[in-house]
Amino acid sequence: MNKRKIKLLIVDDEKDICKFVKLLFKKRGFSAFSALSGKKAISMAKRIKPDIALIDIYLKKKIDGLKVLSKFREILPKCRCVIVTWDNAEDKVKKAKKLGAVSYLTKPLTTAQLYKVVNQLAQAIRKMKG
Amino acid sequence: MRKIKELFHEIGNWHNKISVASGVTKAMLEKTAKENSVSKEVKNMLDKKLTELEKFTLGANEVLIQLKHIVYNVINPDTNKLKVNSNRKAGKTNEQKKNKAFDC
Repeated sequence: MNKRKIKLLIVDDEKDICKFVKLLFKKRGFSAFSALSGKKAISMAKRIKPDIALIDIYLKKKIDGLKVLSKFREILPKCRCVIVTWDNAEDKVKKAKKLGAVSYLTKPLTTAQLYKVVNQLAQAIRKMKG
Repeated sequence: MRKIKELFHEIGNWHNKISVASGVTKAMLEKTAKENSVSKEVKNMLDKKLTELEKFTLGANEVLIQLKHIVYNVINPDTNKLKVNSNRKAGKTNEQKKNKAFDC
């Protein structure tokens, strides 16, 4: 069995959300990291090479979530990217899927919803890695 | 002045924080209750209240999304200005009302 921890990167400009989600998944045996901006997320991703990324579409600074997603697909094609939206905006979800997002979550997030999506992806990654 | 779009997102973010914080507290409660021998009744009661809090947050957010659609139809959320089309529509509606009043 592969014992390497699954690496999860949370990209959200809300400090509290990053803190809470990190705590939640660290308790579940993940290696969890967070970035408060698109720029930080891209530099961090190059360094830690996450297996899964939770990316908020609406980021206040220059680089929004869709740009982060597109960059992640370019530099980390194996990373499973999940997009987080607030208002379920159809056009953005469609665009995210086109860019390669494997799933999307709608805010307000619930822990059950988060566990379900991330665990499914983690299981698939573990299976692939044997 | 802040943009309407930013304000709606900020309320959405507060809802998100409440929901995630409730869920995380529930997960922590599971562990803490065991370690500190909290009675099952107290644990269950807290668990139930936190689940309710999550549910209420989702309810509040649904209303917020409805409100957002109504406001965005009339006001440009990036400039805080009334949309020209909605001005015209509002004008037309008023005119139509006046005309109806004359008809009577």
